[in-house]
Amino acid sequence: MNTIRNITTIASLELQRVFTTRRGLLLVIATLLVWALILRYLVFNAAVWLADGSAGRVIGSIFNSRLIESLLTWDVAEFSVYWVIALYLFPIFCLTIAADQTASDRTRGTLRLLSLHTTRSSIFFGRFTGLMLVQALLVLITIIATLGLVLFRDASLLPVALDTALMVFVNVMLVIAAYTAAMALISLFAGSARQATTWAIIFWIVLSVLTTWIARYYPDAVILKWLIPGAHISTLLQLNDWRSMQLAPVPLLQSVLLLGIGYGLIKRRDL
Amino acid sequence: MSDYLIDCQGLSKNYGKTQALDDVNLQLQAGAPIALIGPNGAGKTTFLSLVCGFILPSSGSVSVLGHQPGSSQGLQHISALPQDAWMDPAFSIERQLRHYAQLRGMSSGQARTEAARVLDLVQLTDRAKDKPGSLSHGMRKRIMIAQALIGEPRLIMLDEPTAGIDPPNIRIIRDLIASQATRATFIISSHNLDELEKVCSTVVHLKEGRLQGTGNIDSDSDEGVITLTLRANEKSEQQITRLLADLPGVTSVALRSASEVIVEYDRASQPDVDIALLQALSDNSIPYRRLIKGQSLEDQLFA
Repeated sequence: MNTIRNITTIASLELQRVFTTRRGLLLVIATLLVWALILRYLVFNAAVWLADGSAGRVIGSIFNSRLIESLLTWDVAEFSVYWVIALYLFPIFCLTIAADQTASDRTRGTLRLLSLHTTRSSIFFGRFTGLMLVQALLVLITIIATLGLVLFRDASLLPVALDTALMVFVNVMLVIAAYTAAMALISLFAGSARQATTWAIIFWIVLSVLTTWIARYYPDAVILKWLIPGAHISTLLQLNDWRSMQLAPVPLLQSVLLLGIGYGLIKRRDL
Repeated sequence: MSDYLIDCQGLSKNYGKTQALDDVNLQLQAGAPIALIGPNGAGKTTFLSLVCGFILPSSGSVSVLGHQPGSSQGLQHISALPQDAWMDPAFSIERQLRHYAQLRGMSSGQARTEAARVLDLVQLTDRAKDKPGSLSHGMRKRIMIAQALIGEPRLIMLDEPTAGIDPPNIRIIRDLIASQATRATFIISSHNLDELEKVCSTVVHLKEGRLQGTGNIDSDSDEGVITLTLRANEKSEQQITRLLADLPGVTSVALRSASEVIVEYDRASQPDVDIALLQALSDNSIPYRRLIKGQSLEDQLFA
């Protein structure tokens, strides 16, 4: 039994689920509608503002914000706004989109059926891969739309915008990978997609509070916060070029760790 | 590779403090369908779930054709109709059967052909494009059997395949098992002993998580016993009992109910008691519905 082939087969069914079933299509349409509004009213308008350096500097001086100062240094203003929104919004979407990797299938017994035809590892990694592909497509669509806004404002920015778009895509996908891996793990315990999302929200809040609290008494323990997906986002926001890849090991290691734990659990759990 | 289809050594499974299966040592050979029987809570579903690899043993081991359940080598040989398992409601039946076939290594084209083949076997070709939720309970069982027939499994386990379904669907499933029994060994768990008796030749008996024994239904049941089911008639129970007891070779006659009589006889000295019995019934105008040489599975196990 070819594990890689079966991971691909399962991942392609996940793509089909999102883009051909009613529930999946509704989710995609809702996501894209939200992004359409963001792009039209936030990215488009804010980019015009940020592109006007003087207005941006006024804002920066008022708020004395390192983030805004950082955004002013972007070559393509549209992507600076997209960067901030995408790094926060896609992880939130991920809590919904990637919630049902195995949860309802286990409750329904579908996981048992699948496990008669392929290995548990194929199911686990196939679902993860499928949802990564789904989210990659969504990110890609929104990035292409942002590129469209750039071209609408100033077509001469295309070469630099393409490079920025690729950098943004890679970084957003790395962030999403860690969140999707976390949802793969949570989905193993949840009874439904909704429950998985609820648990994810609770875990994130509890873990964030807990690591901050522990770090107060044991300053060295501040390193624990890097175990939580999304921990590097605030640092990442201040970078605007390929130097952002210096932070890539953080979500990569988080993903590997979370997937490793999930794989270990699904191998040993009763279905 | 092990010679056994299934080889269990000290197999136990606990759910918390509840021991669902207790030190089961069992070796089963490939061949005719095998019945897995026992009352509720006997451990039948737990046993099948362990063999399928759905759950892991608390202690002991189980292997299928020498492979660990759930391993990629083992998966090629095993298939099952799990109890309380159902398909993904989002996709059509045919799409999911194709998916399972592809996971078993078939190409897209082969998977399409295989899905059509198994749907034809369960006589549900016309429902291929339907979503699982639109099927009746009986059809659901048949679809679940269809997925169990994908590929060429050497062991097919059916957990309660006829539970809660109507006689026409039961007949379809029974005929299907009979037609496929030469290709694979079936293990069928059911409370419907009459059905099991019709299709199985070996029985594995579990009770309270322990193995009570294994045996051959045909050979065990034919040891000098006749089970006679009578139609309503004017004779009293005493008259019928006396008539049958007076037949040469008959050693005992017991009424199990108003219509069912168990006749024991000396098989060595009077091997043709059944013929004499039928003649006696005819001579005395006592109508009968059925005569079975041997005891029913239910009587063998629980009488």
